[in-house]
Amino acid sequence: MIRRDFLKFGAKVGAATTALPIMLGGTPLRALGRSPLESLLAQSATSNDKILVIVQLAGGNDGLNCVVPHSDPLYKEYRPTLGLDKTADGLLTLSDRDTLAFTKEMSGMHQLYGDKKMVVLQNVGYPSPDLSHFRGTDIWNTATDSSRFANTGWIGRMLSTLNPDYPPTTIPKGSFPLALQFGSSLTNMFFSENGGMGIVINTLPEDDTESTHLYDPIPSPAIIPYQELEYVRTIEKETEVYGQSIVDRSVTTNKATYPTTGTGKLGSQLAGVAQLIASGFTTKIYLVTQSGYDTHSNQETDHPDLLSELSGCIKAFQDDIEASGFGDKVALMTYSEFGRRPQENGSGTDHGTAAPLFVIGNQVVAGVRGRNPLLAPDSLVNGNLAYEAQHDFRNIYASVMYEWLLEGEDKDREELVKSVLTASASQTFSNNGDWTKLGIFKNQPSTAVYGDQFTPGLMLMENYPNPASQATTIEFALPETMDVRLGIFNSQGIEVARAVDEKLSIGTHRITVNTTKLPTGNYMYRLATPKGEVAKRMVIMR
Amino acid sequence: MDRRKFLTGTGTGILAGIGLASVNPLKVLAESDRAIPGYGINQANAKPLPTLSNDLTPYTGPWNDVKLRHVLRRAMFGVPYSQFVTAKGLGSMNAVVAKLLEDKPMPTTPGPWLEKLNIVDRSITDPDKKQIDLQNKQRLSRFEFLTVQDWWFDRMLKEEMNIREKMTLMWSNHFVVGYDVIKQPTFMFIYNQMLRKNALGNLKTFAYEMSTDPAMLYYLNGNQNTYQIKNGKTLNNINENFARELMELFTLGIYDPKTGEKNYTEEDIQQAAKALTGWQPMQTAPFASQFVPTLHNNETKTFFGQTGNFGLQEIIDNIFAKNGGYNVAYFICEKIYINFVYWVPNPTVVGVMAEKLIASNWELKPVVVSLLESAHFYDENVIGAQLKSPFDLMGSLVREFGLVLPPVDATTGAIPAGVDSNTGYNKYNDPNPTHTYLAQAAGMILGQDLLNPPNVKGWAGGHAWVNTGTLPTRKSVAYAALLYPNYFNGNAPRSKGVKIIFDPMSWANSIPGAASMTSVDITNALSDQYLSFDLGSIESGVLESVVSLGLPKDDFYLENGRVAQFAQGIALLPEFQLM
Repeated sequence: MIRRDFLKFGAKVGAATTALPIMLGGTPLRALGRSPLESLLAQSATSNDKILVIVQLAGGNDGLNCVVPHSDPLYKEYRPTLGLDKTADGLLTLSDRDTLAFTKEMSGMHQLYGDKKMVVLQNVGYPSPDLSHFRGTDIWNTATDSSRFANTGWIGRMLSTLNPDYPPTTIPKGSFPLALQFGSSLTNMFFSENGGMGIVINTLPEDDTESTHLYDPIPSPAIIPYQELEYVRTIEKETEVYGQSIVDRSVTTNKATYPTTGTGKLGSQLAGVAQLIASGFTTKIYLVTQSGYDTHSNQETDHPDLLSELSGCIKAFQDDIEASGFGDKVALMTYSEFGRRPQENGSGTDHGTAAPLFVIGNQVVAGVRGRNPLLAPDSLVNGNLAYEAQHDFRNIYASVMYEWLLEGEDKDREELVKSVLTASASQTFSNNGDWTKLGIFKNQPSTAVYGDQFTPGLMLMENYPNPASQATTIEFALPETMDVRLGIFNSQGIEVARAVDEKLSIGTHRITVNTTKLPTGNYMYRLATPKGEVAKRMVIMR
Repeated sequence: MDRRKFLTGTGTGILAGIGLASVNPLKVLAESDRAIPGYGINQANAKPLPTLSNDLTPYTGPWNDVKLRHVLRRAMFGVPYSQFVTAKGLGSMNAVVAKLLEDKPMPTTPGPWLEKLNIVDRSITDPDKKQIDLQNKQRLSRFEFLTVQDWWFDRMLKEEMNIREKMTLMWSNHFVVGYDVIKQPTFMFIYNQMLRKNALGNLKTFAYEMSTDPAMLYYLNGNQNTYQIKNGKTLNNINENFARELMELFTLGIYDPKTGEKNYTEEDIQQAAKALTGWQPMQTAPFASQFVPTLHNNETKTFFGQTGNFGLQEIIDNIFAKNGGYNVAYFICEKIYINFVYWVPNPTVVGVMAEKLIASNWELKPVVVSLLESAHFYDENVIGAQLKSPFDLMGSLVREFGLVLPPVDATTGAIPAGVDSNTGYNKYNDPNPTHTYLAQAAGMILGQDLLNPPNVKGWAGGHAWVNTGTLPTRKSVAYAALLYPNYFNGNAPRSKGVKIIFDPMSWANSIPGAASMTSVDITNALSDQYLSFDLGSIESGVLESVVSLGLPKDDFYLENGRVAQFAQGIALLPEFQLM
């Protein structure tokens, strides 16, 4: 008898999702960049047991109506119909930067923010942004400069470097995939020179499955058509082994209730991810997608619905993994191919550029990073928001890899990050090899300098003397009485001195810092307040 | 070299040896855990196929069933046995290729319902009624579009021995327009017919007609690319969207195939966009496009180093003249190669094809004929190397297994043929509405939503078709379609109660003399006919044991249930994913 059960695996189908284009033509093929010797010498960073869940907001999330700069009069000028009002629209202001607020639908995320489990990275983007959905998505997935093309993705390259022997010639039963995506075709984010480093499934099978495999393949002659046959057999094998691991997972329920609004897909995908994590899957990267953010029209109703679903699902996911005891092992990151234009078009917004990005988890250093969006007409670029240089999305990738996903000496981790984002030799993903560490996660260094002033009255002056020898004086001004931290950070981003850590009154303050114990070098001093952070560079020389 | 080795009669022995006698072979063999021999190639470091001939030298080897099936599979959506027989009767490669490329009259419109646009009634002032009107029109459009998809799929399934529908699908994935942007079935139908009409015609004419196609004008904002002087004010709404894709995705590609330099500059795009202003889709029948001089920018443009008051024709002329036409010819021939040979183009062969296209003054037919008659095309490394697209898969299931997709009626829960005033569904009186289910299945489940590719680049194809998400589904669809007794109860709303009829005995008996063959011979005959690979002994053994139920090979009889299982066995093999 043939049972019909196997239909359940893979046959449950959602609506067609946009297949990510995987580079086919137009891209020159290239040889493998690294020699085996090189990889032996260079890469001694390794993987750890941390997990990253990536939530793709497909279509271009409107950042301004998500992290709302409600007190900026220009915001409402650009958005006569879509603009949200703090009182009338019940915005949820951010405790440590009340010039920004989440929408009222984002109560779950607001709670995570208040619980210090969420980082809001402002003005994330990249130079010469591309306003096309698919090209934009490709740029984000492949982590290239916008003028460059790659057919491998940042996750694929990282996983391939960490697992140089993958794919193995045999996939042992009970194995877990390195990366798992919910969707309809494998994202180019997961591709490496060695092929797809992850698997894609439509939905999580709910019960037993039967193999659709007729027989085990016998070795075939090594001519190319048979290699294509081997490709299919490999996919079949992956489906069987990984599919069986998924079916056999020990945890098949969730410890939180996920919203079922919208298509319900995001909730079911994140619930599935939480089950796999709770079951002890070693899968390092998960990718889920929420579609519908291309709000050219009807934004007033569509966008709040999307945010409500997003916020509720993320909150449920965080509660779920914490209840399963995995709260310290998992971080979640959102991304979207672009933000949307400040000036509304009447019923919606057109394609834009920079936008906020969220990183969520127990281990993040919570808060808003970066300035409020600069809305003044002369700050806009072709009518779109300027990105913040240190919030180039690849700095975020670099920080997430360096701080969260990798283990090893600083130098080795840096080297690995560099090879993932800035391959040399035959292919270059970017010219920039100097990635800024953002200190997104706890106990991690930061080399970011948040120099832009975003709160009227909050000012940090140049220190003097600079370069300093025995001592230097730092002046700053506060718009109101508030808690203030003034820290000195070395070039590795480690805080080496804390000059101020107290509540100070409104007005100007002058602090003299003893620098005799600090060695010659480049430093940064950073003023952190509830209204935001400001930092500048200084030099100590003896 | 003869790749055939397989059925030696030892199949059942092997099965017995691993204890398969009384259990389901489909299940048991899956449970052993064997090494994957070689991992195969992947999207990232794929290489062209190694072939003996790397140009368009005609094939002069023996004309046999293997070569014949190969060209038919590549040129059509599945090969019905009857068409294989007809093609065999033609006797030679040249006759078969000539037949495949024979000119045909254009199919007629599915019905008068495609002679209007679904536009909201602007005379309605009441906001609620306005909303209802809008929703009704949107719904109507959606159903009519499904019917257009269905109609095209019907063309594929009913196509005689001809390559045109395959070419049309190729072009719809090259000069891409997606319904999700257009939302007017009429424009999608006109666009589809434009592709069909030009599919084997003159590429340069095609490029011009494509550029002025109303759906294309909407899809890439050509209609918004305007320049006008109103009340003394200049409104210069230059939209570069189409100009960019015209060069990047439709004609030249980004890079020069010989030098690797960029084919055009941003300035070229802007200048071309200016030249392309003024084309507007007509809102009334016949829904062609017209050039509106008052919306055209009459300034002098400098494009590819040429200066003049250019319009669309001059831009196309200049694009096609680049490097004596080589860059456009190469880019297009690469697409043809990918569609008919292998997903990684062979640059040498494509180069020869490009020269041929230029020499034929942009006539496409001679290039396709030469390719399908080339030694390269019939190289044994080419045969079986192409992954079936979702429509290849659907075509091979329906046409090769002789599935009957009967009309459905209201009593089964499905929507009857004929006009449905509520839904607008099925207005052209589709004799086979079940097609819609399969066409939708290909789109929604397997990722090829006809006339609605995910973006202007189209479907990636190649390995992207088959992955851990789609392979189980591909097999599930095959499994369900080949059930006996028949049932196929899809979960799409329009397919409730849809029945797909598979008649296993008729299928087996389509092979002449099947009834008197040994179980080994029938296994060989059917797997040869429907797979591009010679099966290994284990596979053949399993199939043979299914059809014979373990009885002696010359003392067994064909029986519906077992033949159906046998058919499923074929369709579930990884080999069936390839052609």
